[in-house]
Amino acid sequence: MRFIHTADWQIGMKAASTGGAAEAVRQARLESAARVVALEADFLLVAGDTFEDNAVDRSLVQHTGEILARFHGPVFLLPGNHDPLQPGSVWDHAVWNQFPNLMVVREPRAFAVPGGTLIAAPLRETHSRRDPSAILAEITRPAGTVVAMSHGTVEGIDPDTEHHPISRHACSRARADYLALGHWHSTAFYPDAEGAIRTAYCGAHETTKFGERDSGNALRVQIENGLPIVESLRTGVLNWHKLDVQVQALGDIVALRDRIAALPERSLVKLEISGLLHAAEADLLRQLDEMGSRFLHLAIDASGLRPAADAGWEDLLPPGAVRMAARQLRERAAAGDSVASEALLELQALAAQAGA
Amino acid sequence: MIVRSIEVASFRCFDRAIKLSGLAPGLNVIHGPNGAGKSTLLLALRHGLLDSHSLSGAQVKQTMQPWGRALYPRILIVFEQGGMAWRIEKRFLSGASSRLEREENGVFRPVAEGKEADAQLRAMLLADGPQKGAAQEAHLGLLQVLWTPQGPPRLPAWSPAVRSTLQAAFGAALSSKAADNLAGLVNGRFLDYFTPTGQTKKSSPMVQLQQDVSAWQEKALTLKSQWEAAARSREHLGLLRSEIGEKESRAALLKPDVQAAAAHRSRLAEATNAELHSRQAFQTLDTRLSQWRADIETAHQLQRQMEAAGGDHKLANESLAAAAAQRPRIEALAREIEALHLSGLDAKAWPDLLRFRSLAETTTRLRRELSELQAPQDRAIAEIRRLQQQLEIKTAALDASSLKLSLEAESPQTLELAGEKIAIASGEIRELTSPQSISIRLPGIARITAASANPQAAGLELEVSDLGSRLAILLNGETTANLEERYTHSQAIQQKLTEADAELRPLSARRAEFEELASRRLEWTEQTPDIIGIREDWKSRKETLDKAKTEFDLPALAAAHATATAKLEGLTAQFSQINSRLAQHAASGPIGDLEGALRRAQTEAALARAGLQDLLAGAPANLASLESELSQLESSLALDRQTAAHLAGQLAALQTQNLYSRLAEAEERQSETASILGRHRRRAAAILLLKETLESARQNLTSSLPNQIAEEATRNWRRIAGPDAHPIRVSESWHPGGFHVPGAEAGMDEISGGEAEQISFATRLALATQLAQEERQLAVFDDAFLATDPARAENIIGLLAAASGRLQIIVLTCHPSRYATLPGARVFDLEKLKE
Repeated sequence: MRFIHTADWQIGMKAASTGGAAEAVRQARLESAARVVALEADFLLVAGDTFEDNAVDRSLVQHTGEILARFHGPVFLLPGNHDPLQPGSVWDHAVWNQFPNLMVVREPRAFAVPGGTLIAAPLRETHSRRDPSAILAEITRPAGTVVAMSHGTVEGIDPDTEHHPISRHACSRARADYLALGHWHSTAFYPDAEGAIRTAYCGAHETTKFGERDSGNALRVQIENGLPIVESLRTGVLNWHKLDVQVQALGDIVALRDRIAALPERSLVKLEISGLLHAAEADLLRQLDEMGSRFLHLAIDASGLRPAADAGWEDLLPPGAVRMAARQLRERAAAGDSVASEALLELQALAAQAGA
Repeated sequence: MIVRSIEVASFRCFDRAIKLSGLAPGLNVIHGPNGAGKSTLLLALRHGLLDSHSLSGAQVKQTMQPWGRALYPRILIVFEQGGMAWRIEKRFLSGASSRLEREENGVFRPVAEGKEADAQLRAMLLADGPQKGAAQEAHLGLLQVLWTPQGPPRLPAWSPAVRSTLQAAFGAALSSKAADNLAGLVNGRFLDYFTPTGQTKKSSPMVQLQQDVSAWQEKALTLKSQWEAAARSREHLGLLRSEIGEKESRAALLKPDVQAAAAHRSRLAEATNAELHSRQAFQTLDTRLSQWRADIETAHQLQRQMEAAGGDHKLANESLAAAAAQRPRIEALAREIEALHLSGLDAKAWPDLLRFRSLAETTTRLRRELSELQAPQDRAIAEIRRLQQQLEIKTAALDASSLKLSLEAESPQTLELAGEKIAIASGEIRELTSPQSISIRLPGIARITAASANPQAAGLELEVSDLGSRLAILLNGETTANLEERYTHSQAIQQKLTEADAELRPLSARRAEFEELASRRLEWTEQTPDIIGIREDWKSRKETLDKAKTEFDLPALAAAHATATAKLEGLTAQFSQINSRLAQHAASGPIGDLEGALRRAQTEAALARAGLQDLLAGAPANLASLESELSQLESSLALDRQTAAHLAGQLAALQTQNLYSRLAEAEERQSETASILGRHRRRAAAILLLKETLESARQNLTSSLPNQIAEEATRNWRRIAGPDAHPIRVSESWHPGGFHVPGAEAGMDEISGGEAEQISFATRLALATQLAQEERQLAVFDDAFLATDPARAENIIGLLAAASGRLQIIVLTCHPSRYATLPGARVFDLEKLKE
């Protein structure tokens, strides 16, 4: 038995943190979806949250269905907490009846799949404190290899998450050889006592936000003699970089600029710079900002940056009130006043302009 | 500004030209005795640099022209300013001129002449150069500070321009070009966001961005509200459909029970109906049988009455016959009496007269009696009899076909019968009869309706009603028996009247005869004396006659006979009717058949009642609640389905509106715009802080200027008076105000003249040194230390030497020996220069 385990496509999701790149981010998720369905396997499992919401545009549902239908084998779609099986949901769309290889899990049941059986139960609510995998044990299935599919939070991942909790023993409880999970966007494996990976989150097929660990993957699972072998495959097309950089010495910003310049073009970059800006490198900050046109999105937060008290620029300031003001702003900036830091940077820039 | 050389001619005491050239950029001592022209030289510098060449003659004569000489003053000064060498030459009075030149490649080249040269020079040296001559103290500009004239050591009141320049000098950046330039840039940035008064500019990018953020936020909120409503609708619809499914299941489970219950109820209704019909049939038969038996009994009674009436009639007949038999004897007796009574009279006519009178009285009485009797006419009584007979027949038939329902309450009940609520106590039996149908409603339980199976019942009821109405009209409130009795009585009277009339008619023709006879009889009676005996005999016979008449009263007996006859006839008629009804009863078979049928009906009714009891006993106890539950369930289902259809329609409509993508766009645009706005706000805040900090620094510097001056002046003063000298106090007007002494203040009036001189010098030097921070300046001290003791004068010399690093110092003195120790000083002997 060999299948693709994917989930959390979140098609149509909002991307408010990416500024003007939101639409590109949404398009990229469809592109990544196309990469998933091009993978070789006997069948494909989408373990929930195919869509960001049940209210996404119906044209998008149609388009997604068409992409899924390109997979050469059967595709099983599990309604998740973002797209629960409800009246008026995305699962009412005609596209799910349009292609014979697309099967939406509409009730707890077993499906015959190449090499064995799939058992799955849909989510019908956005929020619930019931274990959605509990019912899997009650599904009758023929003897042989059994793959289970569910959507929720495995106990212990996040103590603050109470919705759709999934027992750590859900796989064995369901008498399955492998439990394909969705909901968490990072790829994560849960080996059993013998070290076999029988429960796994495949992670989102495309990264959904800054700071997301190990997302943009799909899993290819091969089960032989009841033992799963899991292979993580890169499917994401975008690169999300969240950089928190501390600059101190002269030359640090040059190094940062070079580092940013080396990032791939289809990147979204969130850069937080703190530390000291030397007068000689003040212009580099502007250069960094101008590099934004190279990427899908570049957001720079330099509020933690303050001009270095090097021998350069402050001594060149006109003596008297200006120097006194600079000294006062530096003292406030040193005490953590970000506005004073920015004011000092403004003064530095203006002094440079006046000197020019 | 420092001076390289000065040449003066025709100026006060210098009627001849005098030239000081090669002035050192540092220390210079010009000495000469009193009146040698030291101060004049200083005056020439002031006029040459600051005054207009076109001063009036009076002014020139007063301030410049040598006394008593018609000479034209001329001043030539070479100086350095702004890193360049300049030369100014001014001539006054005749041929007055002014010429400003600048050294270029070692050669002075003209820059301006006349008033232009004057103005340019003033602008170069003074921000607010003198407008009307340099004589006025306020118009000296910085020379107020730099040049110390002879006289009291007090410092002058600083002009506004001097204060501004000093302020700038101490504040350095406050008015330096670099500082101004930078402040201008800061202000320019500030004005990008704010008005000059610090309000956010309407054209500021923040305003538009904030509007955009608000607009997107509002749009996002609206869309989010719709999106949440749609989500709720989906959840609601899901729950609703789930509930519909559950209700349908419940309804499906409930329906067989309800159907079974309904079937049972139908059977119960049928059984009830059957029981009712059987009971009604029984009651009908029972009624018929009762009626039959009653009719038989009535017939028997009538028969007995008829027998009794027949006896009476027979007795009456016999009495009447006996009376008739006695009649001849009574009449004979009467005739005898009459004969006795009317002996002598026409015995033949007298009985006729008496008969006439008796008949007349009888007919009168009978007519009165007849008129008072109000008996019905023949036709009326015949019609009454006919209607009575028909009514009895139809009533019997209707009664036989009527429904009879007996209701026995097992518990207190309130039922509705013909729209009226009737309360029945427990155990009370209510008999209900109706020809056509009976409808009883037991509120909350059932409505029971029984209908007659006889289709002619309605017609019979109408006929009975019609006959009753017609009979009532004829009876006019009387009973039939009364009318029958009166009719019989009237017939008898009529008969008597007829008979009396027949007898009276021939006697009436003899009325006149009878009247005469009566008159004569009266007369004869009075005239006959032995009539007494006759009369007694008559009386005796009369009594006998009356007794016989009483005993054999034929009319009374005839009346009694007539009554007995009428009664017998009435009974006979009734008997005939009963017989007729008995014949009707018997028409459907013998009474034994009816009794058999009644027993069978009774058995059937008992069976039907037992079956009904069985059904009632076996009826589901919760039939009503099951029906109610199913009904409520179906109503609820209908409502749920309607709501579900409505919600589904709403959702379908919302799905076409691309709600989520519009919400995403609104939130993304809001976030992006807010991010840009945030950057602008941070930058605006930074620029505002920068501007405020800069202004604050300026204000701090300005307010601390007296202290700074005092600090510098004290530093100078302590070099003169020693390190322990009290610190100088400087007033807000930047003038020395005395000392700070521990626990007190020492004013200028409280210190010695020498110290006052030294403090003024120390303060002036502090100010002059500040003015020379950017460019060396000329400081002139004209016999300024006359009150200072030698030791401190030596310290002053040291101080001057130190100050010469920034200042070109010219000391005008008549005591050159005091300055002999000045290192590197150029010394000019004015007397020698005049030679």
